[in-house]
Amino acid sequence: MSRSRKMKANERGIRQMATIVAGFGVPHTPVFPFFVKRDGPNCETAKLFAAQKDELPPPAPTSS
Amino acid sequence: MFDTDHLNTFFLDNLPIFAVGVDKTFRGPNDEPREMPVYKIPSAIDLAAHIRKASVEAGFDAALTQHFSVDHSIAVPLHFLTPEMNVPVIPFFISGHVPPLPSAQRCYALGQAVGRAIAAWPQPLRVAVMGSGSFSLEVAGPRMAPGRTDGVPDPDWAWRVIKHLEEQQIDKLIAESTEHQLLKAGNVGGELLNWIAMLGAIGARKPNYIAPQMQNGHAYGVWRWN
Repeated sequence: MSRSRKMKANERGIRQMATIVAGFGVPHTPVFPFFVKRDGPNCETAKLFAAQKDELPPPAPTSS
Repeated sequence: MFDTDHLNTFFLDNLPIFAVGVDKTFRGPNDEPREMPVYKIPSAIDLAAHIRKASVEAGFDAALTQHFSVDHSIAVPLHFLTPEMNVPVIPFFISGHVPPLPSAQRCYALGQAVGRAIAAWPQPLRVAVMGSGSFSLEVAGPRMAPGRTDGVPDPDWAWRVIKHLEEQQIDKLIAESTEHQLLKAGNVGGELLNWIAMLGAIGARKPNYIAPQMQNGHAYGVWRWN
């Protein structure tokens, strides 16, 4: 939600709730960091993770 | 992140079927994969405790772990997706390696409960839910491929999983993901349960894409709608 929309929602007393905005299925092969370092950013694994990274929501500035 | 630990965070002396990591931070990987640092990963302790409480209230007796570390199954995806480690991550562990495995239906329902818990959290967070793991993979077991330390014992199953995901046939995926099938798919085939829990959390949605990497018996999936 944009800052202005959030402020308007607060003014109206609307409670801001958490929202699920994405789902990801990820592999976790332990040798992948080594492969990507060895083979570079154009290898298949690097490209597949990079494509997922592009879909991640930008991080919020705060955490609890 | 729904995840299956490889007996690095837990061991056979204390192996919960479900567990939530509840702490401000945790470290990983604790099993030393090559060419990656040990990260200090931020978490969200209050939300993690809330998710665990809501899960227990929904009938899932999720254990609590604090002062924990995680293995490559969480740290490797984060190494590529959030290498700055500036996004809080909550690990939700599902025992997917050591039989008896929780049922796929129960993991899907667990995901639904977690989804409801997130939606009830009174802070304007945007949450991405992840499921970590393979569909068919044997690691250091009798079904390894020649000359390798792993193998894909059931590629047909991996393709069927991908087809069900692409066609949103989640009921079929759950019905076919029996313990027999998951173990037939490899000694870590139960990691599919993490994807199924993720699907429960996000609800019935069409994936943006499922990109297979079949030499490893797994895929990269994205569901993004907001």
